[in-house]
Amino acid sequence: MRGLLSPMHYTDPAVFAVEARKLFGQLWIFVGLAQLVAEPDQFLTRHIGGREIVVQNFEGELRAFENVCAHRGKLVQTEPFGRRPLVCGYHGWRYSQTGVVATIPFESDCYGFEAKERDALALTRFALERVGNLLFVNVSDDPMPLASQFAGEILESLESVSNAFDDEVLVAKFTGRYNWKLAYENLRDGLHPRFVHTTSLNQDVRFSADIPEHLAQYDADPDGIELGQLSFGGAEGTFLKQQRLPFHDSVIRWGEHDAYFNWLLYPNTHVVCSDGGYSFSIEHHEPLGPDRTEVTIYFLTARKRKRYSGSAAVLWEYAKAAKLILDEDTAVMEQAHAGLAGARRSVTQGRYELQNRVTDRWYLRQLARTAESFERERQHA
Amino acid sequence: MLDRPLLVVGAGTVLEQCAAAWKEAQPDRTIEILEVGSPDHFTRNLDAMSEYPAERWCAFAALAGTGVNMARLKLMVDIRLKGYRLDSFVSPSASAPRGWKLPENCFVSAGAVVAENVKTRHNLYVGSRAVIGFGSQLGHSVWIGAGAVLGSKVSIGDNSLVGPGAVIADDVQVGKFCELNLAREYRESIASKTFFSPMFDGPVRIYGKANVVDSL
Repeated sequence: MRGLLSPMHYTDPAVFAVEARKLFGQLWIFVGLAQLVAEPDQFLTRHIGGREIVVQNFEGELRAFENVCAHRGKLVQTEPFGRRPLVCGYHGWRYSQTGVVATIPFESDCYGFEAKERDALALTRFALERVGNLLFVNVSDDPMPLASQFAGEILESLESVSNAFDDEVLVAKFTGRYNWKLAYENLRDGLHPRFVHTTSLNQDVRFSADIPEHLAQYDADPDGIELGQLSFGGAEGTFLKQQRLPFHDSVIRWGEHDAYFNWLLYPNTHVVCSDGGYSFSIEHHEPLGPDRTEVTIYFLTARKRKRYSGSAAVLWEYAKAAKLILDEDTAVMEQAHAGLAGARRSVTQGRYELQNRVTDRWYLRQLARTAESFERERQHA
Repeated sequence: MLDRPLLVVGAGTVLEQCAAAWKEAQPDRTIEILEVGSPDHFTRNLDAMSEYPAERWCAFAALAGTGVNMARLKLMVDIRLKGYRLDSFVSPSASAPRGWKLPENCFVSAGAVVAENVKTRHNLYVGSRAVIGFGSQLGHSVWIGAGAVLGSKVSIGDNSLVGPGAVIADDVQVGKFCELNLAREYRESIASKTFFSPMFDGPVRIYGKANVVDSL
């Protein structure tokens, strides 16, 4: 089957700009873990569709705002994680939990705001939802219900697994020269580990590459595809061999199922449990441009049964081992992106890739433009 | 320096390097090598040490510093729990203050330079041609890679690793469980559980409640 997306959907800045508005500007986007902002004044910062986001803890209550000071436009919080009040470092404007400016140093001496103008000084507030320990933000003016994006069973399993997360979290970043969509097409491709991870992941886990026949109907009924169908997860791979590690005795295992778990949360979050419930990672692919994607990864174990001295080593070694596998993915995605950048025709999809096809159909409907319309627009420009 | 026969226990290149350096420096001493593998890079079966009774032999734990030195520390502790005295070594070609006292299981490689008033705890490894500046303080199980340079009054926390070629500026404090694996200059103090690696962009950090139990 000819793929539904054309090469320009991966490489064209015009498409990227529309994605920022119509996907990332409309959908619920994972922003981080609740245990990283559990204490008063703790915060985290992210970007969504080009907008700056801060999630701040106000005396135990989490709020999401645009992280841009109403005064001179400086970022209010400047670190990815930290603990300080929501105060801009430029002129000391301090924001309350409703986002309004609570105090301005030297206000009466220097600013001369009229009452109406003063009352309107506030940060833009965004919708924030918590699923277990996972935090999602929606920057739309009219956010859809979270349940419209993620089916009930997905939300239940995400809540269950993330409630098992420990509160010691390793956070790492790296950047790939590929379009963000390629990462999720790759993750939805159960066949690739046998070729890309021949000597690594494929030695330990066997993933299914079965044809999802239940999705075949949508080729005839593309309008029947719903957003909730694009996210799925659970036990996906079976272990060919499973290693028992010393830290397993120190944590409270999530469940008792010896399986490799994957959750793919549309559009750009991947939750992994690669060892049957002892440790987890969350990959968040943030599009920086049509050809650049920043990956933030959170590594953590299941909640500790008891404190142990080697927990930092466990997380750091886990991160390095996982990165070797991610490097294998990154290499093929960068090569695929390079190929698409010069290609004149769409890719080819097999029937085992029906999940990608369904996702592409929904994506095109959401963008409400065809490849031809982008092409006309580009030529016109 | 102990004059008992020495059993160098560990794995990998570090085991070979340490044993070779010791044999070259002390040719008249009985020095044996015991390689102990690990199924999980952490736990090791030391039953074969029974052929070298602790009453007559002393030992040295020789492992690489990966995994923030935890496997190296565990090996050292396990050997000590078996009743062995742990020896330390300063290469004859290293430069260290006269009478510098080293705690157990420390190793200073050829060409290293240690300035005056440097204090260290046990299980230190200093690579060849590394420099440790005046008044620096090193926690236990610290690893200083080959050619690394620590300025004056630098502080390195327990279990931390300074990679080959790294340069730590004067007065910088590095926390516990850090890995500085980029050969660059570090000018600002570094919080515990921070990792610099060519595998990732920027520093990698562990956030959350302190879970460190300093067991030694």
